[in-house]
Amino acid sequence: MKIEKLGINMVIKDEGRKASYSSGLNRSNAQDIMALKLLNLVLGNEPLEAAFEFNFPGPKIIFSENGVLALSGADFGAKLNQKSLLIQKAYSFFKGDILTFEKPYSGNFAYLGFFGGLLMPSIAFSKSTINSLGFNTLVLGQEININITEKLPYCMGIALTRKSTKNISFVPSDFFLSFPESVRDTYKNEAFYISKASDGMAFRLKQNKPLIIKYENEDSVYVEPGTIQLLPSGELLVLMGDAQITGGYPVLGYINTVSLSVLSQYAFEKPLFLEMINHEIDEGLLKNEEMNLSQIKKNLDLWS
Amino acid sequence: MRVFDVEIQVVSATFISLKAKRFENIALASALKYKIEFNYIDEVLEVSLGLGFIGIKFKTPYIWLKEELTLFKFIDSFKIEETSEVEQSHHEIEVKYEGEDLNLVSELTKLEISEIIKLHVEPKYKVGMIGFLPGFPYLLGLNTRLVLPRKITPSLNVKAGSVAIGHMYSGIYPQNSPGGWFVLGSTKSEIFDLTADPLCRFKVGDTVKFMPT
Repeated sequence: MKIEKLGINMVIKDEGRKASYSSGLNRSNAQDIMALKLLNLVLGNEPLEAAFEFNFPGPKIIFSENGVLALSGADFGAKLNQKSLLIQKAYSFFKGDILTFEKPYSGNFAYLGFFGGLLMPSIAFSKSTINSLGFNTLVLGQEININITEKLPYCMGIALTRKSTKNISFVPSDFFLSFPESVRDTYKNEAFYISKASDGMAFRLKQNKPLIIKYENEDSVYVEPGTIQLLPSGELLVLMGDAQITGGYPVLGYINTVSLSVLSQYAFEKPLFLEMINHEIDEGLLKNEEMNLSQIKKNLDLWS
Repeated sequence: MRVFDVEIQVVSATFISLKAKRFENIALASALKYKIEFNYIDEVLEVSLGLGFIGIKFKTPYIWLKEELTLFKFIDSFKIEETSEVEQSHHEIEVKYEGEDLNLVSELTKLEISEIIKLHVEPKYKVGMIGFLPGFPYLLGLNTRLVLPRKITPSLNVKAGSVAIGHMYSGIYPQNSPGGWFVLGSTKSEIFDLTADPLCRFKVGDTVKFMPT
């Protein structure tokens, strides 16, 4: 396929680099891991096969071979030639077909994947783009090949809508738990909004009346996507898929991959609330999501 | 959370960081890294070292809480006596001290620029951690007179090769990046290469000396 026009912040993403912290390479995982998993379920790929990730406006792609594609995450009104495409549904495409994106209907990060996956090199078990090092950086006019396999994909969709929620759950750090209850309640009861200064490295959460907590300059410690840091301005930084691996701001806690996926697609102007949970509940949420995905896979296997 | 003398920081459902004074012994920390990776090959994805702390990335969420004893077993396994020597490298890095923040650092520290350079060149630094950017070394040993808080407003584009100071560290930017440290100079030395093995020129515990040009 040829990238006739790049989407905004268009990169290749998968589960991210697994064993890379020793050399300072960040994870760089898909912002919405759950969307990536659903995408690959529909396509019959390995659950975390790499796909394109982009914001609106999306790319324009001209296909130079036949294949099967699917979309997931944000809905940017995809059209194959003039036919509208649904998300989480596999479609055949043919040589000469043109894929475009017309309008942002929902979400922030869209995923475009292909049956068989993208034929790109890996580093630390990941095809995720590292723009600062020019690794798998996408450029205008680039020709990209799809990995051809003999297995057939599922050519059906998953009618799945995410439960609408205003709450993003997090597991607190000892630092957060050391705050007086009145301060913790302020974080719990007052709405946060995602600032427009957010990007793929971090979402900035601000309150109408930010709570400013004075603290000493901290030593740098390991962080991961999902880590919540407290800025001197009172804003919270929620580290996203492209976050660095160390940070010097105090850590308030962490958000699991399921909630981080929800946050990544959250509308910027809508209020959201932080909900404190413990390890056990967090583990239950993660298991529940895995069971849901496993059930969807079983159903798809039965239908195919 | 603390187990014996080890402070445990939960970074995520699959990542914990263990901090203890004795982990500053690089030979000991390296021996622990290999021991954990060998003994827990089914559970652990990666063990990364910082000076004084060890990061452990697990394959499954909360596996370290599965049996109450797991963490204690981990910590207990740290009581190793034998420590094989770990090969540490020394690096000499040529620096051109013409950084854009020299005047600002002079203003904040009340030191002449020549004094700043002298104080920055003097120490033999130790690599405490690799992080922030691919290959970025956090160098310990900065003269206390040069310790400054990070910039309130980070610079939007610090150039690759910039030699900078921030908080209690000195560091070298391997790639262009936004950054909140004060740039004193620049080096042409390559410190991270995606085609090299290992990728990163430095490892934790290596020593570094800056050589003015």
